[in-house]
Amino acid sequence: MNNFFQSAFKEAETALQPFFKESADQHGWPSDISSKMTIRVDSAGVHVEYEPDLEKAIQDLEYGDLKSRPKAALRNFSAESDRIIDLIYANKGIDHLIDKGVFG
Amino acid sequence: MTFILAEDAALKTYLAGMTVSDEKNPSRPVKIWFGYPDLEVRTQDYPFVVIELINARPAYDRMHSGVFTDVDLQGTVAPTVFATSGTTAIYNTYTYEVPVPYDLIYQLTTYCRHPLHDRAVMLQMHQKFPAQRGHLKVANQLGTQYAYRHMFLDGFIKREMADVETSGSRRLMSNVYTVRVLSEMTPSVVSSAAGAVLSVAIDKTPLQYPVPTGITSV
Repeated sequence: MNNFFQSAFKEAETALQPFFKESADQHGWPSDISSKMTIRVDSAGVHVEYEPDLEKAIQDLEYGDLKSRPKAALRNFSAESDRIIDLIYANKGIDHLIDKGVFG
Repeated sequence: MTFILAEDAALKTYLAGMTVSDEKNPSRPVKIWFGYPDLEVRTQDYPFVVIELINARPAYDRMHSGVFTDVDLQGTVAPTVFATSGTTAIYNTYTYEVPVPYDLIYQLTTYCRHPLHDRAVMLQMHQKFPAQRGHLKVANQLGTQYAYRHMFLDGFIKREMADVETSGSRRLMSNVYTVRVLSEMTPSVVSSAAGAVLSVAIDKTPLQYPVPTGITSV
């Protein structure tokens, strides 16, 4: 069962990484920042990871600063990723049940 | 006002009236702006709150479709049928499409230069947005009725930055609130918003009314 979850998390990461990049591009984030951010999925949920020295630049982009308005890529990604991950887990679960012969 | 404009106005009204105090002014108003104000304005007007609509997304999880038909003259939008049947009763029948639900995501950012102002604004904002519940009073298009829309505080983050433009590198305290307002848009709003101007009527006889004294006709 542990393998099943690890596999599901990996599949979710693979699907969400390009989706995050797309969301960042749509909101006008510079590619040199978004390309350094990675998506990790575990039992606690979806995590966006990056080097600590990017923290301020990411916050300025997400929430805006004195010169530019907010480009809410992370919040949009957070809202949409829940929906995507539900679909992935549901499909993965059904595939697993089919493999186990639950449906005959 | 219609979809989005109504919520914008309601949110600004909801935020209005906050004040902070200091040794120079016991009741300094906290101004509300849509979008970050110009440099000249914000130099003099701290503290203030900026409202920004950062997303308007269809709420697929609450969506359903169809047409409501209302025959009891309650909860109507616009009459579409006026039916008669001989000498029997006359019914007004109202039909309207089911509104499309939306989530309007707002970012409310407070800016203060004085730490005590920052705390005072935070206190008032937290009272207005007490975590995962709340409502927003939104007026209808005519301003005759109100709807209370659900409102949620989705996030809060405290930030600090240096206002280099207006004061060297003086500290600027900022709080960011992410607020979600549930709304809905009727398909008729979409139709009216998408309408094209097909013709323009020009009055060729503008002098049908007497020109007031002191005004020269051109």
